[in-house]
Amino acid sequence: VVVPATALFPVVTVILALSFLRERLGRAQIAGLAIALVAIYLLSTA
Amino acid sequence: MNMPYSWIFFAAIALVFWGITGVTQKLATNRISSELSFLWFAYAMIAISVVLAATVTVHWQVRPFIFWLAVAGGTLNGLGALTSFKALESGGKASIVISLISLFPLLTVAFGVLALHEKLSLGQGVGVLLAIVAAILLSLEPAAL
Repeated sequence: VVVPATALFPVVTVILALSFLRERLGRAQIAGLAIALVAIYLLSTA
Repeated sequence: MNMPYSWIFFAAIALVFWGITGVTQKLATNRISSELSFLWFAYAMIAISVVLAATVTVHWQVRPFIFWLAVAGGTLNGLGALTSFKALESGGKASIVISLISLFPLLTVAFGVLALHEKLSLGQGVGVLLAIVAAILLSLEPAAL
């Protein structure tokens, strides 16, 4: 369980990058982020 | 330290620290070269290593195979860090670059299946497909931002 938990660290980066670095993403990239998080979790388990 | 659930504490710290480092790396490469950013990154690692070696009891005698495994891990990790700095320096957004890089378990799973002949679980199979879709979507830069 440790690996999936730490594998989700991009969530922190994304939140900080959007709020502090004022990064703006396209709709496709936002969808990509959401799908990537699910993929990272699935790939890191089992 | 083997207290029950202490792993949650350490995992949470890693989650926060690695999450923050994506932004600090982006800020650094906005102002200095990726090479210099990496060097300071590496010096910070060395400083931590020196403190660790001086304060924690470690058993240095290990089998050569284990030693070279650890060295390979450090080398690949370092080279990965250097190329991630390059990606950020080249204009990649921290939110996108770090998320894209985080799909690396895709390669770990692929290596397991192709080289070690491991069976792919249903969850991992779905994960592989989603990771490919995510990588494509993440690499799509909006036309006008």
